Amino acid sequence: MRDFEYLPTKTVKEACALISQYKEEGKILAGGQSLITLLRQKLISPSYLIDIKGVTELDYLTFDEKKGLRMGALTTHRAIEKSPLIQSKYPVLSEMEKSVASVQTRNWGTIGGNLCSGDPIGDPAPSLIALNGKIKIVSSREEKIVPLAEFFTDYFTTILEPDEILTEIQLTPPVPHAGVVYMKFSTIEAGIKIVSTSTCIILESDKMTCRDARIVMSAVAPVPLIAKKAGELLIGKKINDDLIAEAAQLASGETNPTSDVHGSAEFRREIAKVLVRRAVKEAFEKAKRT
Amino acid sequence: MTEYSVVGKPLPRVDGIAKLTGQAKYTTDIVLPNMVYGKLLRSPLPHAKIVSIDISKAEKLAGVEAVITGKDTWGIRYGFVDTPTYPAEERPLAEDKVRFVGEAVAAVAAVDPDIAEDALDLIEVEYDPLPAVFDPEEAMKDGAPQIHGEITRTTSCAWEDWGVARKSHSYTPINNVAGRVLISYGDIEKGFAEADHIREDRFWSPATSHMAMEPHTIVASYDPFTGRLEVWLNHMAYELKRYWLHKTLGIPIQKIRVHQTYIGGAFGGKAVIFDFEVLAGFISRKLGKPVKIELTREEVFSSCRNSIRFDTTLKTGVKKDGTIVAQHVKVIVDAGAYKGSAAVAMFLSHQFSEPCFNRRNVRHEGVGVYTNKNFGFAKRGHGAPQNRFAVDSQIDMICEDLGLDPVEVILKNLRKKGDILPNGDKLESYGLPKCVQLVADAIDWKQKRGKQRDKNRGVGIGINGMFSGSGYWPFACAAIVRLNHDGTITLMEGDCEFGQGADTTYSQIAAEELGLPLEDVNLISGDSELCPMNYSNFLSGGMFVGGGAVWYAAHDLRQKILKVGSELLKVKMEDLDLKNRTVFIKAKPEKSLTFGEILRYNVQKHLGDPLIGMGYKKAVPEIEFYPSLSKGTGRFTDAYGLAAATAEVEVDRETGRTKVLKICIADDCGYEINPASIYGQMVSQAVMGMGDALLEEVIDEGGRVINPNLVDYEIPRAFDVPEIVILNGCDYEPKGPFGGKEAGECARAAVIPAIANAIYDAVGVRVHRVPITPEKLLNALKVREGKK
Repeated sequence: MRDFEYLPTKTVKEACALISQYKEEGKILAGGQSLITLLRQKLISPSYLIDIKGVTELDYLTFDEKKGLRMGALTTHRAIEKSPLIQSKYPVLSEMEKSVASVQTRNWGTIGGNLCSGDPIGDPAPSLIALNGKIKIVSSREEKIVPLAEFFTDYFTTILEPDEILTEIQLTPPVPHAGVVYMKFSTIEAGIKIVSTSTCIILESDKMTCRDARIVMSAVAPVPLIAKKAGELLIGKKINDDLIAEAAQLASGETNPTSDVHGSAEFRREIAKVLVRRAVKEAFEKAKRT
Repeated sequence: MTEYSVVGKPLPRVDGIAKLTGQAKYTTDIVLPNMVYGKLLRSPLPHAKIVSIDISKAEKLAGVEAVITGKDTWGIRYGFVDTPTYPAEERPLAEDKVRFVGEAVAAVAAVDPDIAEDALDLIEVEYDPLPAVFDPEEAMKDGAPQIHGEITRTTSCAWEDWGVARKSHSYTPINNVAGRVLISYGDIEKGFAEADHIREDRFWSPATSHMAMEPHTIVASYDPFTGRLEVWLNHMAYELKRYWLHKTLGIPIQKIRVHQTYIGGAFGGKAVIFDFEVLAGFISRKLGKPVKIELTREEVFSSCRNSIRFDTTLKTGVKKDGTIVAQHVKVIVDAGAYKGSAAVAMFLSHQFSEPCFNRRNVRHEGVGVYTNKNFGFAKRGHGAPQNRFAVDSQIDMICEDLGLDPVEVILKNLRKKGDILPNGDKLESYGLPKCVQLVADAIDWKQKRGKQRDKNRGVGIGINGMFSGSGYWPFACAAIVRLNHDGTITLMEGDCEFGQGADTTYSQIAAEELGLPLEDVNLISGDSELCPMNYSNFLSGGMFVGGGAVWYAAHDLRQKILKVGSELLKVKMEDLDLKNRTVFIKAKPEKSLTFGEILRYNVQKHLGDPLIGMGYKKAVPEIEFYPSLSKGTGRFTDAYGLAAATAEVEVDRETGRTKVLKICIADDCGYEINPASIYGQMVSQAVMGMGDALLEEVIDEGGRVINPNLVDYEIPRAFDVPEIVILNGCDYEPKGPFGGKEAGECARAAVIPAIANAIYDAVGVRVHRVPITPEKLLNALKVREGKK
């Protein structure tokens, strides 16, 4: 690890001022569960580390029946996992968080830090995209809200400018006849996800016809992958096993995985197919029940 | 049966409180005045000439105290194998060339570890890359890159030092062959001719990490005024480390002290001397300051010893009823850049097999081959896990071919209690048949075997045998028990506590023998200067040899106390017994003397003799030096530990993922001195074996380890641990302390084939390479689907 200057901050304003001052030379530390590893491996060597973990104004979870969920970027994974609010309104997030690394990591790591690390094997991004999440980005210059689906651009890369900070995640209120499912495949229970998917199926009031479908996957592309063709295939049709299998096949074809020690690209495609098929089926069953 | 009050009880560990409260000192906790920190620069290339090394910039960095290269340590050699035929060949720093990615090229010491690391980046090494070879079969071919030139004798070998009248000699390996074994008995041709059914199959086991929680660490402190070197380090028996520090640094052995520290797991991976340990001593002497070197997890994976890569071709002939009549084992070991323990493992894979099946006609050939990769050493079972995976998988296949039941076939082929093995070892205790029966019943074998494929579930079985210490140089231990004024004792024995429970079980043995409660044992262990000779804790000799020495020492003191008691109480020694720091007349327990009174009397009346008990033990008393590993002749051990395991799994056919539902282990460790400790050993082996079967492999690409961390090298974690049933298959070992023998290594190797066979039972496909990852199993399932 190279030497750097450590700059703890207490407010968003203070953090924005510092990061706009140092830009590329600075890095935001928001828990450090990914960043510290990168520093240790000398993959990044910032001169200034701006620690926002102490910015308490970014640690909140609120819900409004009309506006939906507002989640501060410094909410820890563990807080999301354990929140009664999340468990009742967006249970898939709590389910998904149980699979994020280890308890120790979840206790300290934050949702904002996780998203900004831009690691395509992360689980929170696909889940939040499946839930149609938006994010608030703040800098000394401006404040904007963008769909999370547009946030990621490549491996470990996002649309964040060097002087910007992600401050909030927003979700619309839950809709009826919707089923959202998180499903993962890893060799060990709490291991690296070879593929995971968060799949949202929304049905018409007949509880048979698909009104909307969002199938999002991790670890099969440089960014969280939205299986658009598979989703489009389902929309407007009555869901059955054959259709689900066809969608899963399409979704698998939309992936662009690489090979690594955990599995070959071919294996990942195969697993993506199996997972999507199982997830869509389960989401469909769930949607029918709500 | 005798009623015991201390042994046979699941007493809490004597080191438990220190560990739970953080008081226990590990090497990382050792901080000495003026201590500097060492870091090693390691080769990025698998095979290259070193053209030049420029250390001038590193030396100028503020805070750097020393930079050394192969020029400073030229000619220093060490190695686990160090015999007249094969002189030691490892070196602390590469000299003229590097042979694997991760080989140490230079070392830096600085006032803090970060500066030392920064200095590594300032060292400029010019390499001239050489063609590299990673596959052992390629490496043996004519024209392959030669990894070693002459392996030069630079010093006397260990044999000479222990009085064998044979000098080692320099030699040049041919076609990268690092060593061979050939063991045979019976008539293999005749055996196969008599067979009704013959199978030949090939199996592979990869290198795996020992995964000790504590990465390797040393603190070395040399005092230039006294010429003494004090070290705190990770080891499994201090004699071996001390001997090699003495040999490599030229410091008289009595001037080297290995201090007691706790060790955060070893599993075989900390027994041998390492480059960084020699370098810590070297730099400490150069600077006259203490040096600490702590390896990173990446270094442990890439530069320390992993388990040994086996490629086993197995040909077995059986009669119609499954009786084995011949077995021909051909092993190719991918040794890596140095021979490590390749030859030893090839031999052990045979000898650990011997107490399992009576195979009648056997030929076991092994060749160890140099490649440009990190090299290997013992890991819990040393050759047995690799061999059992092959043998017990093939037994399962033979049973499938012939429509036989594996449990029945295993029982039919087991040796018998009292059998004398071809090398002369006698099976005086033999609980293996009982173990097989216990694990079969515990998994519900008869109801489940072959009957759950519709649910993608299956059960499988494996077995194993293991030495209780072995008779090679200078495998012996001694212990001293001192009677204290208050009637308590102080036990001095050398074994180090690396988690296996030696401190606790040895204290129990001494306490039981002297009629004391466990708390009355004051223990001094693991210190080379305070304890007598100790060489027991690997090859699973801890209990049988080290514990045996403790037992004899306590017995010696017991006899002395009884003798004094008989003199004072005027009865025969046989009429006396010991309990709670007193000696008393069995028939009249009120007539007694305290140990304090006994001690006082003896000092007064018998020339000041304060009553000290001494004991010692050797793994095989008949052996003076080495048995032959390359020919497999000669005695190796006085007692074999034995184990059987069964497993039940469920396979997801669509993803290839195996879920282990249950593992049952029955172990014959002779007698459970501490049942809680045995239970821990068995659970740990169940989980480790599961990791071997399904998950673990150190993967390299062009010689570079690409998963040298715990994210990419996955091991079973708490969530993955299935139901585990541990059963007692003990058969009293007449030569062991209270009947005890090996417990820590045997079962792991039985678990691996148990899981592999259970997978076959579940889905009808077999993967010949562990680990059986989801991807490999899914591919095998697809191949099978394609054939249908």
